Amino acid sequence: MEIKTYPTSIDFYPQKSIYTQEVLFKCLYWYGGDYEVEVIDHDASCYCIRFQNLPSDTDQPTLISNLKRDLHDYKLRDIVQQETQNIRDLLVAKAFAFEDPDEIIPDTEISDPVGFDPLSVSL
Amino acid sequence: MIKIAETPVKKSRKFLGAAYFRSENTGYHLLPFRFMRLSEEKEILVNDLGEYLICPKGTAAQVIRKEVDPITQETLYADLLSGFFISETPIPPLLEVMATRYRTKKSFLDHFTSLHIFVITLRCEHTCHYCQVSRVSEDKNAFDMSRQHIDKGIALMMQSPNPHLTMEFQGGEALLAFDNIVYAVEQTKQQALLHEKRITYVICTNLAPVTETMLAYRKDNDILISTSLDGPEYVHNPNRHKKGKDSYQLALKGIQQCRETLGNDQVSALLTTSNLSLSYPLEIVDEYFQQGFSSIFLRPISPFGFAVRNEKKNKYDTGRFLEFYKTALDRIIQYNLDGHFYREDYATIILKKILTPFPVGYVDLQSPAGIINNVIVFNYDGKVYASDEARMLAEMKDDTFLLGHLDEHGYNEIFYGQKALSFTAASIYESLPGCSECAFQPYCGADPVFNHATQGDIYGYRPTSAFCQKNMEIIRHLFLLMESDKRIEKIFHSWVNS
Ligand code: SF4
Repeated sequence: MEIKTYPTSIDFYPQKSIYTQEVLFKCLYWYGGDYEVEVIDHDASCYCIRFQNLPSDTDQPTLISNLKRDLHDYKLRDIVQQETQNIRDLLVAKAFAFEDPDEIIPDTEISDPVGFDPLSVSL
Repeated sequence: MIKIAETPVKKSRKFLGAAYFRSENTGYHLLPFRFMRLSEEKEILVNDLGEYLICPKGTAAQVIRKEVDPITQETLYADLLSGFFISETPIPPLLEVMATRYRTKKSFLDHFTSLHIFVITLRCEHTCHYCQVSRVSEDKNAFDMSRQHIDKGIALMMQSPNPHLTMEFQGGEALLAFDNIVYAVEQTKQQALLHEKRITYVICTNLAPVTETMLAYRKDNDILISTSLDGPEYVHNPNRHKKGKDSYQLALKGIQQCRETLGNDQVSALLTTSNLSLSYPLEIVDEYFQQGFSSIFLRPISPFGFAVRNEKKNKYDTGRFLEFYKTALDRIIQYNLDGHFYREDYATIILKKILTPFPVGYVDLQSPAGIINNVIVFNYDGKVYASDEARMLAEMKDDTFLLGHLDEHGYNEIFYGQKALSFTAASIYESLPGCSECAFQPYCGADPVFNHATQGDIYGYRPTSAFCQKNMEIIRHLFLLMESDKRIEKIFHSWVNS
């Protein structure tokens, strides 16, 4: 990732092919309390993340390494989110599905639209 | 043709290695989890069931890139499988178990509102500087709850689907309206029989006006006492202004009387952390221990102790509170290491979420938030608020969380009305910015009232939120303490199981 530093600002140029907007915004959310941050659609391949009006005592090297680390972590979180969203939905749907404890267990095979054997549901 | 029988292979009765039971396909699938850094060396993985795994930095990346080797990293792989972080099949074979555990974690929702607070009077003989609500007044008509409103409050309470209700009397100083408490308890007893409810009664009092007659009535009706003790005399009295400067002596005398009449476990004390308290963490912990309490609730400063909507100052104040909290907690742990049982209640609430599969019905630390779902407040004037903090906001001329009035609105309008619904989206941390990706989510909570009071927005802004700063640091600290010393982990287990 290309990085340009100036006396009171830093520009980061993350690749669009690696970082989605969601990843950028989720990551930068946590920087909004301490910094003035802007995301610019730089060109076809990169965004530009601009930290501007940095106070003179800003430790720029630490800020750079923290942002790189956090972008990486949010990218990983995004992978988990993408890969597991269906399972999470299924889990929550199953957890809150109405279950009548007095309901008789069906004794024929029923195809369950979410792909589970209803006989395996312990009541 | 004669067929010669093959010599049967003798089956070994020895235990087979883990490799024998592992499925052929060694590739694994991710299950939903979140992760974050605990320290420079460690990170933590947590899933929606509250299962956690503390591991060296870089492990989450390795897991997510599917680089964990089941043979050479057998222990990690087994922990990930058994903790429901990964699965060897696209749909985990134990999805039913996972769903049941998730449902259990949210089972505090099953019965809806349990805690019904009746602000029985606003009158008080104290003028505590952190209290926004009380009035030093003899005017019962102006500041006591009317009998009609008590009746209407009880009628609403009986409509709660919850079979086990808590009726809590608050003030001002609740005991100044003791006749109203007796009336309310007697009415409730009859109604509870009709509606098949079990009721726990609690009176919150500073104990200054307590008499023998009051104690006898409490004993006959199994009423619990929640009192206030802010620490040693030199902290308690300046915190709790009273003519004669005898608040501390009266509190101790009252506690003693209650214990003699009702038994040790029938009286608990609450600490209100003021600016002054922050300088005396050790002294406060010692005071509670010396007064015979086996637990202390180091309650975080309420949003009203904050300079409302001043983010820089709130960050500083929360930092000071965290320092106070950690110092006090160390002292409490030391008491335990010395062989005493002495529990800190805020940590215990969080630890229950970390160490057990069960939910904790604590209003400030749950999602959906505890307002309305768990607690409702009937104010002295008949107004109905979403929580105790909400009625305090109202005293600062902010009626954002006013849900209705006992004279005008019915159960559905108050509990399921437009106003109640408008808080729902801000009450669920699973969908709040920042929280949705936070590994500590299952141990934390959502608090729209706090967000509104301190940031002017019911959704809140996590990067500068005092609520987030406080909980994130306390949860992280508890994990690091358990990691640093197995004796502390054992102590924490004893708190949770007590
Ligand atoms: S409030 Fe903070 S600590 Fe709690 S879940 Fe949200 S982001 Fe995490």
